[in-house]
Amino acid sequence: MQRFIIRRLIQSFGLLLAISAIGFTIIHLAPGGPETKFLLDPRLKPEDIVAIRERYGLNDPIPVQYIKWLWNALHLDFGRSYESLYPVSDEILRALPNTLFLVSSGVILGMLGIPLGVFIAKRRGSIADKSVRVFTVAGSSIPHWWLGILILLVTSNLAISTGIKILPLPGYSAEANGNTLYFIWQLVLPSILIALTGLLAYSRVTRSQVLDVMSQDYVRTAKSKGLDEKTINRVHILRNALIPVVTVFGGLLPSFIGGSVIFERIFSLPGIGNLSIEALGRSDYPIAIGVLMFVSAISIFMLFISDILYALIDPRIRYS
Amino acid sequence: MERFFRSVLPTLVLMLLAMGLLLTACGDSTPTTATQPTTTTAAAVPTGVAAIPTAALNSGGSATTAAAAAATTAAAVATTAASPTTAAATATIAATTAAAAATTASTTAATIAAAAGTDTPKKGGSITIVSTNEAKTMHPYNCTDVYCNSYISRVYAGAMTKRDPKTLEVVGAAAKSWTVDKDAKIITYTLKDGIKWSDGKPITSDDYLWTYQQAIKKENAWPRYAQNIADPAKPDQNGAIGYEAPNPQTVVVKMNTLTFDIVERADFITPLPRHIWEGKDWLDPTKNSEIDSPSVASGPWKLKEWVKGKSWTVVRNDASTIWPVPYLDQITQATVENSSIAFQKLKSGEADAIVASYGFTTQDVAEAEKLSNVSVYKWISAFASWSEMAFNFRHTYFKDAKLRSAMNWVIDRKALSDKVYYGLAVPMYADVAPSSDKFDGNAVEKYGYDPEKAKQILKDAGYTVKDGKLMDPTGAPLPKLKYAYSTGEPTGPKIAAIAQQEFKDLGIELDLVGTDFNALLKTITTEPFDWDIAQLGWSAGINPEGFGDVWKTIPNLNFGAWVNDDVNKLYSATQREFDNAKRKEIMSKIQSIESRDGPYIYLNANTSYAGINKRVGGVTPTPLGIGFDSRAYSYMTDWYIKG
Repeated sequence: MQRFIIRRLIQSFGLLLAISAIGFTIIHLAPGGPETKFLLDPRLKPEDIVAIRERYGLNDPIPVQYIKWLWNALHLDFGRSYESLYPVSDEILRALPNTLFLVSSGVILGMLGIPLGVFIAKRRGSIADKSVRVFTVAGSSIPHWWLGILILLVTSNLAISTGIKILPLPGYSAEANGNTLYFIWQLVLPSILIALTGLLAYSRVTRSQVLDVMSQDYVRTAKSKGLDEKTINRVHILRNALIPVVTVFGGLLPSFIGGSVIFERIFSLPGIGNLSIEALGRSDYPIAIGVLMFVSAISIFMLFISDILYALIDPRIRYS
Repeated sequence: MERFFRSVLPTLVLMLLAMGLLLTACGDSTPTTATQPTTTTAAAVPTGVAAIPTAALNSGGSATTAAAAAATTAAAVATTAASPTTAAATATIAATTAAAAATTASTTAATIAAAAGTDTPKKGGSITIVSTNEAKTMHPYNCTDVYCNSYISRVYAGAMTKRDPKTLEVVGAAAKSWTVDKDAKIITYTLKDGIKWSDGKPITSDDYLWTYQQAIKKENAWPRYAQNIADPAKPDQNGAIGYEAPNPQTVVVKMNTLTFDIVERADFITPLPRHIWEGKDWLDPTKNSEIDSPSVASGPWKLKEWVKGKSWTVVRNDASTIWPVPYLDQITQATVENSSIAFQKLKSGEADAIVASYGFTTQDVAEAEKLSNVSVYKWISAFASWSEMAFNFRHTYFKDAKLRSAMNWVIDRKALSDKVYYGLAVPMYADVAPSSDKFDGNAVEKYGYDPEKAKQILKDAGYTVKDGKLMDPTGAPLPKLKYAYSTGEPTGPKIAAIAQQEFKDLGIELDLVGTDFNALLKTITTEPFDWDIAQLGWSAGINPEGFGDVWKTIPNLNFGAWVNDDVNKLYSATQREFDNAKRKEIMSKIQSIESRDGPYIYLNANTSYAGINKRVGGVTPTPLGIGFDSRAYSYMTDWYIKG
């Protein structure tokens, strides 16, 4: 296990290095640059453009720029935003709570998919099973961000015409400034929407796994031994059925973070996703790369954790 | 069958009911009132005197991306979809319609038509502005876009001059007077008496000089250094070469060149409070909290709170001396990235104001006009953004003015305005936007939509059409043209599709190449210049005379490498001409050449517009806007809550 962890750590570091090299190159090769917005102002002199590029070291060849960046990054200096002048770490830390709140509430709500999956698997063919299946197919077919805008517009127009306020509009509201409950109320919809991804995936995977395990010989043996239903469910079915669910969890986290990009835009939450999109749009390279590395590191870490969880859940799995 | 009646039918009925409810809620269920006809009045407007040449490129859409400066224009339109009671209570500038402005811009303009029963402005109240974009910094010497400019200019005043919104003359802001020594190229500004920071300390020339000295330090990396500071060794370079403060009320600026707009060119320092800033870090907001949370203000507003990414709140600066003390207690600018949601906030009354460059889309204007709680204001801005199709003159076929003229005659500017801009645009025929006092409707060729005329022009010039393809006079077919446009704006693909259809009628085939704006720029400004026509836009500067700089900058601004010596000489002549009437004559000549033998198919200039809650009074559309953004004439100091 120790060897496995060390090997995976080395692999993870290599992977991060590769991501940084590719990401750095792509971001710097993309058209545009911090000077673009000036380029189009006829009053600005070419000397200013040269000075701006010089200031940010953008006149060096990309490999040189990368090595300089890497050297600083290894010293935990990810540079400063061209726009706000704050260190990248400050910007990420400022945005992180919003994303964390959104993603964690999404993950937790999404976990409800596991009991749901077990519930419908145990009632295979029933109306509950069929309705959940219809719901999962419909839920997977509709883009969740679109659903989000639709629900917001519907509830807002309903509030305007009837005064019944089901959900608040995102963003600042003079009436509710500083009201934490209002803020939580604003987060209800994005949390549910982001949780849908996990909920749908978990319930489907859990259902098929539970059904699969239920037909295994050892479950029949357990039943014939006279074990009570609860023990069979907990020890024999759930534990075995959860193995692939853990993998799904590890893989889902990046998609949660990816999904939060869209929801942060729609629901005006200044989180990591928003930060990244704005940085890319404004060619704020240090922020764009900083966020890329941060999200990559978290994703790799979570995959690493899910591998370890794998071994803990399933004693048959031993890493060597 | 029984099962059908027992289960399926009720389900269907329920679904229909749910859909009905959904559609009802989606639709505009707000009570509406009939729109009142637009009041139209015309009056002569004195022409602007001098200004900074400014123009900024945009992707050809409706968004305005102009740089800083003040204004020169003629027309403003105010339409309010108001109920009779509230309309009577609103003071508006009524003016010429967009179309009228296009034809008689030099003589049309605005008068203040204060309606009967005007509210008396009184202090108090708060409003919320909603915006799809947020500023990233409050540092006046690191800000590079209109969003931070609009934050900064509400808190920091200090520009020596501004433009009068009615006469458009350059008038004093922080300066009470100035003198220009044309021979020595020296401007001497005298500061107003008793101007103060919000903490009561006087604003003196020392603040200006100290700020100047910090800004020009190399290590302080001012992005606009070369724009404002000249090298005395280069006699043609515009900019300052000396800055002095001989006494607390006098600022003396020595410029390197003499241009007609020297008074505004020399006015480039926004002073920072030396007594607060001295000894603090200039660039690091983690070491200098004054950068993002200034404790003292010189403008009409003081920063109360900035929750980054969410909202930005300012309160009235009761000690404001350069600008009037505002009526409102507080203004909050809330960031909502999605424009549909932003508009929804205006509808619901959660937000009081939204403007075009802050995410109010043309599609939403018609709906906003029907709302009972919102007034829609429209005006033609001195900074109107306008769009064009630029030719690449590196290809010999575009050197034939006849071909370009024929292509001009098949572009239906009126249809573009109606279909693409929802009627919020006016036709353009040269570099000068119809809003400018330099616009000369008689000098330009006013291209209408006339495909037959276009075909006749081509026929007369020796062009033929074979198998639906245009052949040049030598009999060689015109290649398929690469039409580059930006997909960043919703208008981009629409105009491109219309152009493709109309040019095909002449036998000219287009290959539409839509990319994002940065990629488009790269394509049109770098080798191998693999494009034929590029669809782009500019934001008009206050002085159209400044546009001559664009033609001198190949390929970064003059993408198509259009060279016309006459136009270049005429533009150069405007810079040395201090007489506005004479400059206007020169500009007429330029427009005449450009519209007939020009580099572009000029399309439309956009109308500016804003949606404001009817509870807000004092909103006055002028060519300088409604007192809202970075180039505002009032910074909302004249806004108040009615009733």
